[in-house]
Amino acid sequence: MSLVANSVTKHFITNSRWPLKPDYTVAVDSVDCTISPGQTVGVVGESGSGKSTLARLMLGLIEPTSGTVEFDGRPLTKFGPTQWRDFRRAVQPIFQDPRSSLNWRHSIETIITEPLENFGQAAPERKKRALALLEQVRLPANILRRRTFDVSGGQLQRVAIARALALDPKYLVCDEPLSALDVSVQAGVLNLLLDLQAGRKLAMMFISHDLEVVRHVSDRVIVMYRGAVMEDAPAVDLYTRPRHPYTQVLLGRANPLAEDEAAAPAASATATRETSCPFGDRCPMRQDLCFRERPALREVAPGHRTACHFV
Amino acid sequence: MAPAAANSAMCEVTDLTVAYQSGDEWLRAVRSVSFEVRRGEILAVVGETGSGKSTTATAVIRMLPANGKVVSGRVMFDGRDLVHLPSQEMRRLRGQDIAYVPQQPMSAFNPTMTVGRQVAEPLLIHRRANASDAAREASKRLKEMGIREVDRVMKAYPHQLSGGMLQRAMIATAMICQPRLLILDEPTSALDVTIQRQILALIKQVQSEYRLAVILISHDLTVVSQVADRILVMYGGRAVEIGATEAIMNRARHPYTRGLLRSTMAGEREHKAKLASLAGYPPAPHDVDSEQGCPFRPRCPRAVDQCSTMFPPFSAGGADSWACFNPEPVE
Amino acid sequence: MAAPALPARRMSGIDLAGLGRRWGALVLVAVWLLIVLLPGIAAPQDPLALNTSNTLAPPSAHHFFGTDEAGRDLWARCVWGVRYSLGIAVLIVIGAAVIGTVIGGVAGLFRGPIDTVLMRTTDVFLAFPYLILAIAIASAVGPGLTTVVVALTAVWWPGYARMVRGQVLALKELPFVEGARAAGTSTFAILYRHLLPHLLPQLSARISMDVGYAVLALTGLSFLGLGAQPPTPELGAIIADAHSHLLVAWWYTTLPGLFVLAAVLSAMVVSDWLEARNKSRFA
Repeated sequence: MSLVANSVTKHFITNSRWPLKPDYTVAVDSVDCTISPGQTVGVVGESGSGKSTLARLMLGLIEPTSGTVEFDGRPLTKFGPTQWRDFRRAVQPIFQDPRSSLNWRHSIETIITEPLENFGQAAPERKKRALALLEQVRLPANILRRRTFDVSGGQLQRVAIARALALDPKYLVCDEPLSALDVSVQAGVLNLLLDLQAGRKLAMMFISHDLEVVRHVSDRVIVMYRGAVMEDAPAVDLYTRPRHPYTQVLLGRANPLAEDEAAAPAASATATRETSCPFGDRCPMRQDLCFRERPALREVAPGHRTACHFV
Repeated sequence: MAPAAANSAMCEVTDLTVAYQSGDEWLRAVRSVSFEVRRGEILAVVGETGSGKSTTATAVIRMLPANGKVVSGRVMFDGRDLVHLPSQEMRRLRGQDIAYVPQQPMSAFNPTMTVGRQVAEPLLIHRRANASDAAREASKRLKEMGIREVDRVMKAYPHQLSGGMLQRAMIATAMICQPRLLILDEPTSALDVTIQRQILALIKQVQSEYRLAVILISHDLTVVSQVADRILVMYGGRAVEIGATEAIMNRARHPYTRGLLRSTMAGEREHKAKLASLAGYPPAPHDVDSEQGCPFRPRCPRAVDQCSTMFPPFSAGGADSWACFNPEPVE
Repeated sequence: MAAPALPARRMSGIDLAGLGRRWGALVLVAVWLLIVLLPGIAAPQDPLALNTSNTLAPPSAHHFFGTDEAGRDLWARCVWGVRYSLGIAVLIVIGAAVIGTVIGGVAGLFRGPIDTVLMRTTDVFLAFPYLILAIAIASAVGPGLTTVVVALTAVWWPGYARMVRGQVLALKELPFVEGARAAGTSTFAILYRHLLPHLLPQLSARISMDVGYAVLALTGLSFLGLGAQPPTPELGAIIADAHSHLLVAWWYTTLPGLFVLAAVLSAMVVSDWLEARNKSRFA
């Protein structure tokens, strides 16, 4: 019953240029990611790394350009209505900013019970379930009647968690769940997530730009840069022996070359992508080879893969 | 208050209270905050939502929005009280003697003007320089801020540059008239981690080269501790602790500061173990205004009865002072 | 710490402007509701009572608006008449809004060929001048209020379709729509449960404003004889009867005209109030 991404690639068209071929950016580039039941996979990357796009692919909110996302062995693109229902029940999201990812014209109760309403539960049961969920996320019952404006950021994220748990999912895809919260509140929400995960034996995909947080909660960590996987290792190994130069940069153990180039959009020309390392222009360890041959993701230690020529 | 220092204060804020108008009422967002910044020092103002840190900064430079007002207090700069300065005088100071770098470099630039023109603008306004002199000076500054392809950046529009480069350009703009006080509002929050470190190093470099007084606003204690000399911790509109960085990071006395330090990711910890966390949430604007005692009281594990009746006076000890009736013991 | 002197918001006394801003629109709505729902209280005289001895009398204490050429109390006729004008106008606009919202919403959400077909249809209806359409329908099935309702609704809904489609296109990119999809919400449910609450503020402001315009259009068509037929005391019909007596009984034309003006202006005031409320709220 795993959630698996197999070599998923996602291109976003930036310029149609019909009848010529369109321009596109590569948001996700041939990423493999397996989340087994009960496991936490962390995904780390900065802006432009493609981690949020990967989350949406895993949630079935967008379709891959190539490659497949499979749940329970079946690709999402081949799902019929029943399979989608089962999938939605099993895989739920927690997004970064609860103020924009929750409809601010709804009451808290409506927000939490919407998944239940979608699956046909009657009003009185929904209310009961909402109260039970509030208890689990440690929120007071009187919050049900309020609107999102009368609720603090930390509380609102707990509401988002309660909503995500409403259908008793087996997988939680968390896209930067702490980043929009105050520092003094982050630890509490993180602890809640850890508790819930342990109690319900949830599998989690935990996405963040903060390598420390990711390392703390994850079993495995995937490091992404410009849509591609740079390193994929057990969390402990990643910290004690990070192999990829980019991971070292993220950990503060190395410095990237000064960025002195235009804004983010990676060169969309497929040629460059296929023939050179995405991190090439900023890598402190770069050599000529890095621009002639793109390093493949290879195993350098048991369960530890990295995409670099020199480690 | 911190003991008198050898070099005089560049900017001294005393008992500053700022309020915003919301509907029919005025709500205080900053209450009786006092601090000073000296020449050649970086003071970090750290706080979360509702702490009043950004309001304090914008009040110092008198750039509060239309519905904001300094209710009481003084901001002394160069022997003059900025709060009561006529607006024309204030405009002359802004950009020339006091520079402000706003949040979000992406949105702080005018998208319809080239970056070069905007970096040069303070010169055109304050020094009445001609366009080519100003442009030359702007290029010089950009180079100083670590930008290599200066010509390209000068001619580029903001959307063509990355966040890190825009922030460098922003700092160049702020520095172009060689101010004596530099205020930066969350300079690294919108940037990637790898760029953050570079920008912080740049700030430190600029500060020491020009012997600036710097006020650095941030929500991230760990980030500012890398460059700040002193740290002012704010909570719920109040200043709760102020002191040397080393003292704050290692021997903070205020329960809130300690709580913050404990709940960050610093240090080794057991995989997947729970983190020390602060219960509750930062106060809402109404509570900030109406709170009679200490705003941290609802979340404080060390609260005593006195905490609800009045805000504690500051007690000093070494390089640190805190406002607490029951501070954390010295370890 | 001593309480600082906070600036006073307003002078002591009653803040008329503020009160007007807050309650003016609601007072107007209440007044019109009274007139429409309880015409008997607003106008004690019988609008149909003929009194040939007192025709074309000027306004007096007994007859606020004077009498018409058949001696009927003009004020009563206006009160009963505006029920038609306002009531039908509201009916037309709400009908148009509902049709337009469904069409625009479906087009915006589904995009693709459905969008194209629906929008081109909308364009066709948008191009129709309502006057010509009304004349055409009247010559086919005869004049009357039904004719006018059909004609006006038919040309009014495209405006709503366009507006709603534009809004839906923007709204559906908002993060909470993604969240709703991940929770298993169907596309239609997204439209009425999530998007509609966001559409309502702008929709209601526009509906209110359109009621004003509809009153004008409706009155105009009735004036031309295409709408309400005698003896229905619709304002346009009254003014049509009145204009031949303009030189001897100015009040007969003018006062019902002012009544129409009052109704339209009130609709505009309510619309402004709704818009101000929408702005002062969150996004």
